[in-house]
Amino acid sequence: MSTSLSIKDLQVSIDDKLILKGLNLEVKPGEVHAIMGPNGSGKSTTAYALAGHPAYEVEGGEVWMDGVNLLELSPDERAQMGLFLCFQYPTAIPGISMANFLRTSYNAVKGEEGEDGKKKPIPIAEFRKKLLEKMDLLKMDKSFARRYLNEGFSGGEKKRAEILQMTLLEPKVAILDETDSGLDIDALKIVSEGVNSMLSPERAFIVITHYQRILDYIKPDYVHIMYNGQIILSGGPELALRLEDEGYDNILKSIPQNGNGGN
Amino acid sequence: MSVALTNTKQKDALLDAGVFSRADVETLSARLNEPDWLKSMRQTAWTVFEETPMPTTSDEAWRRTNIKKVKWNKFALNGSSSVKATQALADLPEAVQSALEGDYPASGRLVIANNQVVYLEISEAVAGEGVIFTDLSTAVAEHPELIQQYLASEAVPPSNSKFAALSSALWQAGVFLYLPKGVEVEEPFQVAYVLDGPGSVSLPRTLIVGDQSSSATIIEEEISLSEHGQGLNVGVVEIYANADSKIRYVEVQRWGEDVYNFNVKRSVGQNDSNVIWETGQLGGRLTKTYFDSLLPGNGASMEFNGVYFLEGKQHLDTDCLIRHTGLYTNGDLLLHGALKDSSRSVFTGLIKIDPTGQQTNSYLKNENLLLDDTARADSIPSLEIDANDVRASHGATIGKIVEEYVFYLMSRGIPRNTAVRMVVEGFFYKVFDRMYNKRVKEKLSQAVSAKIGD
Repeated sequence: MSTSLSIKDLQVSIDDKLILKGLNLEVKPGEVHAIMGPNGSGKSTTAYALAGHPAYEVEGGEVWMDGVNLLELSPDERAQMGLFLCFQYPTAIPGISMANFLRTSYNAVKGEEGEDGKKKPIPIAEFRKKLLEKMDLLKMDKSFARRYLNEGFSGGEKKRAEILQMTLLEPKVAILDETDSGLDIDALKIVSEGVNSMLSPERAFIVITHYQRILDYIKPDYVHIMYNGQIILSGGPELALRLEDEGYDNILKSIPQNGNGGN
Repeated sequence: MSVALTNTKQKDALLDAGVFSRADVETLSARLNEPDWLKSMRQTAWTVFEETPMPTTSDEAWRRTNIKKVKWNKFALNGSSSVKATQALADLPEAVQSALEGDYPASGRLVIANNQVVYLEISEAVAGEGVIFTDLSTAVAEHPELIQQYLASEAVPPSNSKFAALSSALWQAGVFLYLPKGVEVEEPFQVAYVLDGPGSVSLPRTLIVGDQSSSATIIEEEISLSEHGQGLNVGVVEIYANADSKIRYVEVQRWGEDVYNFNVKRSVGQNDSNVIWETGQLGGRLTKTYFDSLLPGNGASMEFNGVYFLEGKQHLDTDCLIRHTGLYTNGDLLLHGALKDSSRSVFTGLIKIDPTGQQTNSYLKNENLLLDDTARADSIPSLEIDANDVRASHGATIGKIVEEYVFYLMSRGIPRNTAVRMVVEGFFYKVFDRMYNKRVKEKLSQAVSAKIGD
């Protein structure tokens, strides 16, 4: 079976400080992987580096998706390939309406190429119908589309907006970076339902989280523990429960130093 | 240390260039067959013009706008225009037609090319209500009492400044809009000022008088027919908003890239009046424009929604005053500008509250987006408060495009150039979303989008 995403020995630094020190991970279509780890272990760095944030300097390694090394692509090209990062802290941009943003993004990622090689935009009415359907699923008010992108949104609204984008763009690989943080239990349920409605044999998820809580709603096939810029232990869903019982410290003590997990 | 000798009479580059003379004033009055009061008004103004020194960078208001190198002798009064007078909109050049938005309803339309009135229409329904919308010279002949009462009076007398004096002495053609008591006009009045041919000079004068409880919108668009030809524009706008009236004045400034542009635009708001300025400054080589809102009336208010977009070597100096003299007066000014290449903007904004201006609320803000390292913006907002029970605040920002915004958009598949364009447009939409007239909003957002380029 083919892989959705193959991360090989990824090394990433920020401000000349090495954060990821050789990350390895294979993700296949239909799989849900959870990456857990204490603060500062490199979880969010992994997410930003995969999305191509310019502040994250790739020092070595490869990331393969559909036979292409993602690291050689710009952030928009990665998204067009089918990579989606659900941000922990989505950026608010003044003056850009949600509706305009979503349509532009949709056309860039999903637009079909015409004969001239340019992407043909989706008719506005058709897009509006699609958008309202997805918003309904996430229990979002219609007025939401008229608001400025993430501006003045509550923490829960921002996360819901991220999930909305994901459901519109239908990525091949979706990375959820601490999507559960700052959500109350009702919002967490709605967001999780949104994610679960997207589960498919063609799509892979990487759920980055500090706590086990979200994994009660989004069931992982694999759980990886990240520490000091590497995956040091991998297992099934039971690993998350063990972590919840024993805590990071005890688990870290139980494994040999510089251990490397992954597949 | 040697001491330089100075002449008692200061050198006046504009006067010495000989573009304008007292003889021109006389010829003009004779040609237009003007009444004695206007002749003498022009003569007096010419004297004020002669006696007022040219502004230099030693003057605080002109400290960042140097006009020493302007070659005034390249300009000539009475340059002929290729635009012929017509009674059909369709006969006008395309650029003029586009400015006038012929597809949309308007209460009236007026086109002035190189100081000649070439097109004038007013809706019969609006005229039937007693509204006057005509060129200023016709108004002088037909409504002398109104013109005498308001022209160059409280808002912009010749003593206002060098350029205001020149305008009073030599205004050639202009607009007069009068709204009778209680008349509310729905559709906008549209005016196009056109500069045509190299070295052309435009001396427009707009006079707007809204009587008690009247309301209207006037849109003025300034265009050059030849993109590169040098031109000079010296304009004055006077707005008299009487009690409870509501005047919206819109300016879309799209002069060609070699036009030197000097304006004084002032409103006087009486009790409970509301004056709204909406501006887009896009063209011109060097511009200095004053937008002054005087609020002598109790409960008078003003709002200003402005944008500018500069590129190349454009220089734009915007000078705004909100003067609160009446009780319970309100001011709200927002001006956003983006700058490309080695363009430069200067903003001076003053909220002045007189001792009588108690319980005033005033806000003024200028934001700048620098799109290139070589662009420069100076923003100097200030407060002068002589009353103790007021709320006033001001702000200014000068910044580059936020890369975090661009990354977020790119992470959603949007290519970099589109992402940058969206962020810049978003910056302007903060202002556009405050604008009242949908057509103005569209006109300005399209003009700005066109200037962003790729």
